[in-house]
Amino acid sequence: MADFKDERAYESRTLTQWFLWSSLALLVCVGLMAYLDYHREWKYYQRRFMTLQRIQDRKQLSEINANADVAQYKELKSELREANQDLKAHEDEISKLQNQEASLDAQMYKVKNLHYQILKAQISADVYSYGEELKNGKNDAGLKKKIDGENNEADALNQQIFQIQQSHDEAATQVADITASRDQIKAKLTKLTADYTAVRTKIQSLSFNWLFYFRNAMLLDFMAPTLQIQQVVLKNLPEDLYFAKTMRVDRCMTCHQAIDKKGFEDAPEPFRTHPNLDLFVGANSSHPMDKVGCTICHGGMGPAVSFNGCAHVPNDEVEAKEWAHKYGWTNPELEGVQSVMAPLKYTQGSCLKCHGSQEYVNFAPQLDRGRQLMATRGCLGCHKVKGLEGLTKAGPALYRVKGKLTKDFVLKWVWSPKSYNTEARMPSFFQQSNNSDPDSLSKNKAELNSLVDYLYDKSEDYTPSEAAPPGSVSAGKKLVKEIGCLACHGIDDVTSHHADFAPDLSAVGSKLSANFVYTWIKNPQHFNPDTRMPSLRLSDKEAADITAYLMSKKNPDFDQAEVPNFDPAVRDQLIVEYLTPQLGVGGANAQLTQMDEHARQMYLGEKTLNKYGCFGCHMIKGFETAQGIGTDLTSPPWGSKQLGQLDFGFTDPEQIPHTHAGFLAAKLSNPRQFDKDKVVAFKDKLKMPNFYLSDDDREAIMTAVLGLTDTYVPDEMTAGIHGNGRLLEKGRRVIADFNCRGCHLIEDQGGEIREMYNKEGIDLSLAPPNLKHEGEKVQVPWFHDFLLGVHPIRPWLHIRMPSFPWTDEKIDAVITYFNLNDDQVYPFQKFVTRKLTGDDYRQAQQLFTQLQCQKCHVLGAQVPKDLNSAAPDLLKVHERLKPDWVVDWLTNPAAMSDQNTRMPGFWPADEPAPSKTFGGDGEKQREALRDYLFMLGNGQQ
Amino acid sequence: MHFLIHFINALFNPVTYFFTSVIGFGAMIRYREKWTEPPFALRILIGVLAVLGLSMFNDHFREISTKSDNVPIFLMVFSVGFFTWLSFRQAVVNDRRLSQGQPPVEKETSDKKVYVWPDLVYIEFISTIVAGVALMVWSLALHAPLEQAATPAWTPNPSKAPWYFLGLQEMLVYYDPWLAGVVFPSLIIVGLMAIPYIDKNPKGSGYYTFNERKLAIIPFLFGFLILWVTLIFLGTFLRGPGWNFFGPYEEWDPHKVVVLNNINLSEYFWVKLLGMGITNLNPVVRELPGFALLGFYFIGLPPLLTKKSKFLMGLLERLGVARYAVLIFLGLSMAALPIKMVLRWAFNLKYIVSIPEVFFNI
Amino acid sequence: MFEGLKKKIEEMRAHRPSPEAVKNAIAEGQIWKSIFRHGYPDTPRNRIMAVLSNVFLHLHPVKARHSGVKMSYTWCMGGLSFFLFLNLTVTGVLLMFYYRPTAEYAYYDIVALREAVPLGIMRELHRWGAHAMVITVWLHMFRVFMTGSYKPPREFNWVIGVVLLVLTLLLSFTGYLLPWDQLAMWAITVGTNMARATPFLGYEGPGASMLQVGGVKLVTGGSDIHFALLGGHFVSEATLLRFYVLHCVFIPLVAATLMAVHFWRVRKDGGISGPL
Repeated sequence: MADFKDERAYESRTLTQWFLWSSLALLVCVGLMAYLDYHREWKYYQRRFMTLQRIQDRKQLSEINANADVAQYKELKSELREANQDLKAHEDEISKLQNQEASLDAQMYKVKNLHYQILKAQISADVYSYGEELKNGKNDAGLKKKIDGENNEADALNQQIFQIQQSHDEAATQVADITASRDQIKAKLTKLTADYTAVRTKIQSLSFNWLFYFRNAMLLDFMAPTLQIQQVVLKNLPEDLYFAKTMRVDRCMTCHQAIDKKGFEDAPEPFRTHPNLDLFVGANSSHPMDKVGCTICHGGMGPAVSFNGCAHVPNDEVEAKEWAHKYGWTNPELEGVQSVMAPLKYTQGSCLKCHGSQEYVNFAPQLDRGRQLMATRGCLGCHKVKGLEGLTKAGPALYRVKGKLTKDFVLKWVWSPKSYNTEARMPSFFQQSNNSDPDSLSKNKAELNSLVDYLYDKSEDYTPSEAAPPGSVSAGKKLVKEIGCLACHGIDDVTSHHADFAPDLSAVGSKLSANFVYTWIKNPQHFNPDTRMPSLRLSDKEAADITAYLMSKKNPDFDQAEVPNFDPAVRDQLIVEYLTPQLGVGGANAQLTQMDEHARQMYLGEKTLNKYGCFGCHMIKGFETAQGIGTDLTSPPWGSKQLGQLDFGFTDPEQIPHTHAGFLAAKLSNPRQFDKDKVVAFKDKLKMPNFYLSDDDREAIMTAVLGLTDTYVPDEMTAGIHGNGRLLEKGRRVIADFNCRGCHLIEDQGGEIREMYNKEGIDLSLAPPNLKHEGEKVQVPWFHDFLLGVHPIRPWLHIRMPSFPWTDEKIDAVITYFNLNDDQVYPFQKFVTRKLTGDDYRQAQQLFTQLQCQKCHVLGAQVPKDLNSAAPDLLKVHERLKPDWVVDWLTNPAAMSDQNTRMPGFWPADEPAPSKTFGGDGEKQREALRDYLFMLGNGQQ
Repeated sequence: MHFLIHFINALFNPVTYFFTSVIGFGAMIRYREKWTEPPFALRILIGVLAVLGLSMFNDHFREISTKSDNVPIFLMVFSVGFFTWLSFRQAVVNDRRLSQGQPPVEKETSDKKVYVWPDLVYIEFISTIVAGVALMVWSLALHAPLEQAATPAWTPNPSKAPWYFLGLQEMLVYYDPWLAGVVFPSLIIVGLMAIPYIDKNPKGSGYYTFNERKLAIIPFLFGFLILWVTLIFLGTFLRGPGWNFFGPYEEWDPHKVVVLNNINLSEYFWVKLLGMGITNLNPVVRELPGFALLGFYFIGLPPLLTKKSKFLMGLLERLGVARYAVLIFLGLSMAALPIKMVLRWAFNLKYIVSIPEVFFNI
Repeated sequence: MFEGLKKKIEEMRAHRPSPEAVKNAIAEGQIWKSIFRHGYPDTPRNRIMAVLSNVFLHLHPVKARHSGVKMSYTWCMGGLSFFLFLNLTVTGVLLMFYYRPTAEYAYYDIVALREAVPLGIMRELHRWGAHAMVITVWLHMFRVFMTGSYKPPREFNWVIGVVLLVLTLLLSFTGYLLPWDQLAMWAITVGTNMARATPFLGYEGPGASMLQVGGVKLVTGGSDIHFALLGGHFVSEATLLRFYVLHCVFIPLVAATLMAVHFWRVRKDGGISGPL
């Protein structure tokens, strides 16, 4: 370097040092950038899954070894050795033949590939040009001759090829004969070790050998990596991004590698198999992964492939801490991420996205329970939920409350329902966390008294139609337990089963008069024409016994409890508060002075009724169609509300996490706690009553409410609206409304009363029947008449089918549901039975007597001796049962009724028919028997 | 500790924030000799870093300040702070030399010429690498923010403009959008462009000085440091939901209730002063007091001031009437924001002129 | 049997050319000389030639004032801004490989960049580079002002600088919308709502109601500057596309040309300013 004396702004040593260090830093940064870009979280999980699979396969390998019959293997091995031995003798012969084959191949190649194919090409070219000439009207004879010559030559070559092929095959067969025995043994051997080698090669492909590291090396993994992002693109479930719909892409299986693979049921997360694969995720399940994906049910950010990026949400605080520790998890909902995963325990709520218009979703019991609770506990009285409108109101009608309850009872009851009966479903409006201060208590008492006065003023008079004769408490107790009251009502005497569809009867003595109970249980419609309470066709004695028993159920503490009276001054103050906005303070006081005591009570009573929205659950004159006072839960859908729209008030985020689930859990356990520390006027306090829900009920309702989201699901993916969907739902709505599932098993759900039978060891065949194939079984006219006017089929059963106050429209809905559910073709009424004559009739009769049907079955007047093991009347078969069903039933009664019937199977599959008639042909016998029964019923002897 | 946080939060409000920044600016100018000394400046830096470090223990402050999109604001505040010091440092050195009759430092170095290769090219190359490294470290450390997909159905509270416009968004509190969003920003741009054509002072070209260019530097720095940088800091860290003012350690509660009812000048004049009804007045008549005040401010005040003060008279001669008028107009309109702020805080003044029928409110 | 070959290798190794010879062989080679018109710039002549004969380097003069080269004087802010601009262009083009500016894909393309796309960090480099450029541009203005470098003859170059400042802010503003998340959309909504209040041109601006012809209002919600800016009444898909084109094509081109003018004027107005 020529170092002339030029001035330098900077002395080059420092510059070079700067350059050195900065470029080193740059190198490190670029390296780090490339490494971090390569080092992705999901690759770690895929590697771990490979090791997991290898362990699994090795276990499988050792199993194969364990039960492979080693003896046969050894024997085959030795045979193979011998075969090879004697092949050696033929060593030279085989090699001679093989050489011969090789030379023939060479010859074939020369003749065929070199001569024959070129010739064929030439021919086709000439033929073409010849045709071309013809087109132009010139017939080139020379060309024609040339083509013929070529064809002959081609045939000769063809012949030659054929010969070579033949001699080649000869040589090959000779070789095969020689080595035949050895090849055979070899084939047997490979077949024996087939699955062993298959698993072996699989393990090989999963090992971390150099090939694996090469294919997945940094900067080289763009060519043929084994660690890859896997995804499912769901074209028919687009995501609604407000401005446009975009294809939903789910990449969850990138880490959840075994989600659709059996055998990893107890693997550590994230490699666990999805529960009940035949229903979800499985290739031929009803929710296959490639059609439905994962985020439609679980929520979360589909295309994300990092733990936090997918917005996982834990089930509870414990899991949250564990994740924070293990994955550095932070709550996505608090960071404004909208597509957040639903906590695993509330996933069933997502079923509403597609099954929202269905009454119940059989594979989501927690959701069904939640939706049922929202109807029976009265959430829908205040909160509107799309799909659950127009249900019968949760509470009893109050048109004639005067004739049913005393004022003091109602005051004590509404003031604190739980003090009357801890199982009471009536929610508590008063004595809550935000209105237990003295001022609120006195105001609430004034409101309560005016409300009750108002209700009693509007109530019609009513006196029970009959006086209750004396009855035996013990007989009544036995009756209540057995005839079926406990399918809907709960009572503390019976602990084996507690239904909560209808009011609990544990303290009904303190509530109702004997005459009222007597009239009510004999004929509920007398008191309230619209009630769903059915009649059990009680005789006077039975009714008297039950009344006596129910009247004995009292709650002494509640009876002595002090009636919450009120201070008129406080009431007047409330009235003034209501009048001030319109009339100003002076005007309000003036108006007050003009109102007499009664008018004041009526004014405040009506205001209180509107304030607390009692008409949401009770039918009250003049308020039958009044709008519920609660927020609408479906527009906008509550589950998709922004967090900013939920008023957490001043509650501590440690206790109540500021998430949807956190808010809902707090709201359902104590709705008023959001008023804490809030300075708020009496009329603006939170009003939602406290239901004192059990943990399971709260979780069920939370599932139902968290499931209400604005996720877009196109119609073709929505369930329950295609084909007979709507008709089925109408039927299901009636079944849910009248709690048929309290007794019966319908679509394998419900049958709650059976819990009592199981716990108390009563024979299940005496329990209400499983209505699984009712549509196939029962004829429509009979079904209609039966439901309209219930008459016992098996009178010896203790439990009775109640007579419900159904209208024709409801009955038709139910019948249509049962028939459509069993794929019966409308008009459901088409059957013809053969009329047996002469010999057939005689043989059928002989068969009937041979099988001794009458030993159990009633036949009109003839009744079997042992009533306990009796069976339905056979004379009703012709009008009650469908012919095809009877034949199926006779073939295998146990299967048809899921093992709880006592009807023996006369025609077991692998045994000869029980009687010689009809030439011992079981099929003919059953049909003949069916036709015989139908003729008996129709009276054609 | 709890008491201290409450005390600091109470201390912070727009008034105290703005006045401390103005006083700080004044002190920066007056005591420039002292604070530009490296040890003193270093102490200031350490003080600021200490306060920042301590406040990181406060959950709310940490949550807001570590938001990845708020990090550039810290970067800006610290870099503007450093370079203000650097420029003032060299200006002070040069002023001292100039007062002793010596030429500025740059004079000596600018006579010497150096080859662009390697000197300039080499340091450019190095600074490129250093900047590249800094950018990469920043990118590796912080993820770019990504919230939920855009939907007009939900307005996040607060919705803030990108951080460099937060100064303007703060101006919206005191002026209507047409002024704060269109007129004033255009004046800022035009004003910036006009600087070389207004500043006729030949001295101070090509070297750091303060004394020789007081009249140019003070208004520019006031506009840049106070009305732009500090307001950006305020808009980012101290403005929360509902554009309410929150202390640095105060939780952003969307339900915070603050009294915000302000009164128009016309209401003061007609209703408070004369006790007359205002609704029946013709808008123009109603707004006469406002127009009068504005007229006086823009047309009456300048000649009055120029006659009275010698300095302004000298300036008028030097610049000529046209330049002088433009300078005064730009100066007055820049001062309009602080003046309106003070009127708002002092008298709850909403509009000086208010004709909502035609969206004309000042 | 490889004796012949071995002998030849021996010969070559015997008179191996010295590094000097190799260097000269290359440096004198036709290829090298066609590219570099001058020797290694360690002599004054070559240093001058190095700058003069290189299209990029001839941005600078051959010799510069010492003060112009000192970091404490120039802070290198202009250079940094230009570097950041180039960085943004490069990373921007790479992002354009993956980003589709439609309402359907925009958001999830950004999610893909963050989650799955190799070297998705380009997005961070682009965004932080943009914020850094806004800061360096301000500091550059600050330095030019504090050194009085706007004084004649450099006035107009200052004006171009201010225009470039505004363009940088617009570039950052339009780019802010492209990730199409809530932060982006509402920041731009707030920013563009000002346009509604432009005097005369915005339908909520003063004087807009005066622009009427025959009683028909010309400036309405659907025909004012706000509507023109957004391509709709509120920030929608049209806005996204409009901002995308502005951000990727129009404003960068305008800014690039003005930068060229800016660099040119720096040279023509006498290089980095220094005391007279």
